Amino acid sequence: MKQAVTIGQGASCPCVFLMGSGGDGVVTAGDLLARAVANAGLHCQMVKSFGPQIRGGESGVWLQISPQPIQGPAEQVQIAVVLSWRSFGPFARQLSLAPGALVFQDEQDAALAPPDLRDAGGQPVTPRSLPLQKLADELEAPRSRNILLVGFIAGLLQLPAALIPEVLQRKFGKRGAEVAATLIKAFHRGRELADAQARPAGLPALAPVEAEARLLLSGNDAASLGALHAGVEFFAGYPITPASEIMTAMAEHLPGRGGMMIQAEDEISAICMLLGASFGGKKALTSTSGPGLSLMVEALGFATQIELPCVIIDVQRGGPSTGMPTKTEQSDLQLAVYGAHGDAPRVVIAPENVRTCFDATVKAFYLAEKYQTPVIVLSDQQLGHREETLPATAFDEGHAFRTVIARRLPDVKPGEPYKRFALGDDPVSPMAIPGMEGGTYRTSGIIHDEAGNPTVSTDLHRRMSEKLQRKMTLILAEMPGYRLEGPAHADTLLLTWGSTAGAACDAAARRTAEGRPTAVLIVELLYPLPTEALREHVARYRHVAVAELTFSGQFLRWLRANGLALEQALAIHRGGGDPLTTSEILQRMREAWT
Amino acid sequence: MDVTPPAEVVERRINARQAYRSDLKPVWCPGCGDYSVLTALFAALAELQIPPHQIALISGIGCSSRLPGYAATYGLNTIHGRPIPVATGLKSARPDLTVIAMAGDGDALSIGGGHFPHAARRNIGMAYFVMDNNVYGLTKGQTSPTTPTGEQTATSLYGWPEDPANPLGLALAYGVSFVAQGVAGDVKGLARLMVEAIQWPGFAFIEILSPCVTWRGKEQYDVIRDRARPIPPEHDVTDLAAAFRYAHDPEHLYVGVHYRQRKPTFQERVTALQQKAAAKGAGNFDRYLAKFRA
Amino acid sequence: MSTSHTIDFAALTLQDALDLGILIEEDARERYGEFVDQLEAHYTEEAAAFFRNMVRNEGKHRDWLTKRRTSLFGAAPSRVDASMLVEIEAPEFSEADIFMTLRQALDVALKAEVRAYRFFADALKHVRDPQVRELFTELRDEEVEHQQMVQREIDKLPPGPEPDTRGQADEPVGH
Repeated sequence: MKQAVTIGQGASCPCVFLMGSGGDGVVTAGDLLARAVANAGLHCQMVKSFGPQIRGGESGVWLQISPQPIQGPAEQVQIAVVLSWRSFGPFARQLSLAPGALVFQDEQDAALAPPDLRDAGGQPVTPRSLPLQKLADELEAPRSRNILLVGFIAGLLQLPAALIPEVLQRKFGKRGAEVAATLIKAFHRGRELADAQARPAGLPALAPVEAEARLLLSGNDAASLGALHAGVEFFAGYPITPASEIMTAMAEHLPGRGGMMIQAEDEISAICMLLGASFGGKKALTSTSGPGLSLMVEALGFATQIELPCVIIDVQRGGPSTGMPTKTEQSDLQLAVYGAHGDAPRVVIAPENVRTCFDATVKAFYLAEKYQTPVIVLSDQQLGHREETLPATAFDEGHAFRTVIARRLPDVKPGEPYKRFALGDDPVSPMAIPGMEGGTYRTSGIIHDEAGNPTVSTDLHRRMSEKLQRKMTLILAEMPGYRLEGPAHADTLLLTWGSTAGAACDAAARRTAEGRPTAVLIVELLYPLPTEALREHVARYRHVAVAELTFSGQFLRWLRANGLALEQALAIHRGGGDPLTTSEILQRMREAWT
Repeated sequence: MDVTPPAEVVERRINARQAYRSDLKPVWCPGCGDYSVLTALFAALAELQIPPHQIALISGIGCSSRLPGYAATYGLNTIHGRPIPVATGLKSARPDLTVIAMAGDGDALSIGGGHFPHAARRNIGMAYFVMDNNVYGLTKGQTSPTTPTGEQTATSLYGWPEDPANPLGLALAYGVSFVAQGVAGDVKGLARLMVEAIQWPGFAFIEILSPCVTWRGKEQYDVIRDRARPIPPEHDVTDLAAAFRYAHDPEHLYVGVHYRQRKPTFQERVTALQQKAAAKGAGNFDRYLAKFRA
Repeated sequence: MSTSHTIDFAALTLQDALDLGILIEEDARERYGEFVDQLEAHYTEEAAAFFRNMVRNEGKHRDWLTKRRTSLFGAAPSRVDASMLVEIEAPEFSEADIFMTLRQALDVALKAEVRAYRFFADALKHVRDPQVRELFTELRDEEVEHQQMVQREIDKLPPGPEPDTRGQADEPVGH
């Protein structure tokens, strides 16, 4: 990650960084804190980062906490606790310490602390020692350093003491009353440790808010919920990081509702199984990441050709090839929109945060069934794995996209001819499903006539291609496919998509606060791209920037390929696996337009 | 009591097979073994009296995979090598249907060879007919995974340096619960095997020796005829070791059922786990959502 | 290569025998029809025209038997296995050939008629019912007439063998 610039005052919300080796349980600590924060009516966003080890490798948790909803990724850290300097190395470049930040270590580990630790302002930082292991040993619970840590952070942030024991009880209660009691004791010892410390300067007060109950969940969780709401009946998939959570959720929940999850032998079979189930009239889903999507490309073209609905959630990771399975990137865009031989339109939509992973998935099923087309949902590791607090009503009517439709069936009669691919005013021709008498049809990836039979007619090839394309036009007529945020008098437009939206919105807000009113346009529908609307917006602004997390600027190229005049646009993109930060975007805009 | 006018009854009866024929005419070469397969399939379906709209034929790519287009059932001519996963998805989602997957030797043993063992493991309740002509016909006569060693083809001008696969041997090794071999020239015998395969509760594979007269000549019929032997009636179809011996016989191509062993089907197992999950209340949206309450 | 027939001729009634006859003719008619389609699709017109005649002939025989069956037994359900009766009078699929000449087509038909003759002749060894014997004898003798008819057509052709012009055809097309 690039060294982030220092922002004058303290951040609007505190960010806590906890790190250790897997055995230290810092992720568990982060999860407990997140739940406590949520129960206090506050918002939080939790991002985890792991080393390449399967278990016990280095792991870090960033926890942003705020009275307001959080958009962008964590930047500067106000409080950092390092339980193991030995495994700190991989995080050294990722960790940006706010001026005046407090860094803590276990006193037993103090000898291994780096001698040259500095904050973002270049000032040296001296870690403070805490007797964590010593206290844990005294409690005869040597593994409870992470719970002590939870108490310590809760104390520093002055979170209500009553919240954590309840969460501890819920999480560890089933391991016996004794265990829970010990852990609650550890928590309180941790709080006492905090009392001896001064709070870092510039932290806003985190008084509990009387608010509705909150959910704490990841983008993959939200997508799974969306799929269930949409009425998914069939899932086939192949395990892949960072998408597997959706698959395991489907394995848990589909059988109970009469559906099923099949673990396919590879991603090719996974998508083919979807197509079989969809041909049979079922709502079908798979989840995957870049390498899997690569394998699915041929079958995707087939789905377009024979007009079969199906939903593919691609939780993108760093590429190319095996790339960085546990890091994020938006670099499957090109594959998602172009990945097919021949002209094979499909729908590609992108959520921008955890909440919209639900909406995008429900919308994907809606579009797939309504327009008989494959739909790719482009999530990414950042969205898929980060956990966020959301209002408990986040997915209720009026708060989320919840429209669910059934497939349009034809009115067939035995003995009467049925044209599965009828060419009429409506490019969506009702689809019979096996078992319907009078609806039998045969079709093929070969160019077919209206009945579905193969043809070598070049005229039919053109007309069927038009049919597929016209469905895309109807989709654009039905939904805007983008969202515009920011002041009406803005002279600068920041174009972005997917998980970069959060940082872009934060950056625009800060830029606006600096006296350079900036709007953000977040594209949700990447295929079909709402080109006309985008063209009108782009023309209205003096400055246009395009921000995305790809090394080569795939999004910018896609916009330009669709005919948007962006020759003068500021291109903000890089690879690297860490999300673009607010400061990075801001800095690039400042440099470009002084 | 039948009150239908007599002539119509007779007409309907003699058209039993015709009810399965679509209005699309095959484009196979005259003499092609696949015509026999199509007729045998119609005969088998007519014998079983399965309504055409309850049937789905799922094929891959190749000459033989054109077959679903010629049947008045539901049908998909999918992509190369993938009839098994498409059919698996369909049959598992719609166990009420009669699903038949079909493929050529390229589909089944080359590009799609990786799906075969998994269909066997799952014991999906579908028939799988492989029309094996030992050659890639649609692309003009290249070698296939079953082309005999030493043969000259478009891609083996100096003789084919690889060993052919043994489809029956593979099926047996993979644990396919019903393994049979039929020959295209014997429509009636093939139809009998198909009846058994379609009715089989589980994954039923028939290796069909179906000559390609264009690339391997009419002689391929003679070669098969000379080597074909009915599997001896005393063969115990549950004897896997004996089945392997017939499959690997260096001289003869044994026609008939090689192996047949009932085991739980995917559907049976899935139904059981669906009941288990439902009893636990899994799959309820509100309950799932409640899990995320902080 | 057909597997042995499983019909119990000794137990055959006249109704069964008529139904059997109808199916045999229908099977042959269907097969000749397929040959017509196959050859027309490849523009092998002369042989296709001949097979079209065969479709008509087999259809006539089928209709004639159907009429008798209906007048004698009406709508009584058939006890004959309808779906599995194949290739008694029908030529085998392997006998079609993409560029077949009229002579080759006639040879195919002749072979099929001989096979049908043998079927009835063999069956007659087992048939007990006198009415069935009468019908099968009639059908067997008809097959002889058909053979003679086909043979007359062959005799009209210039003496064979024909030159092999296959090498002049275009190469197959890849798809």
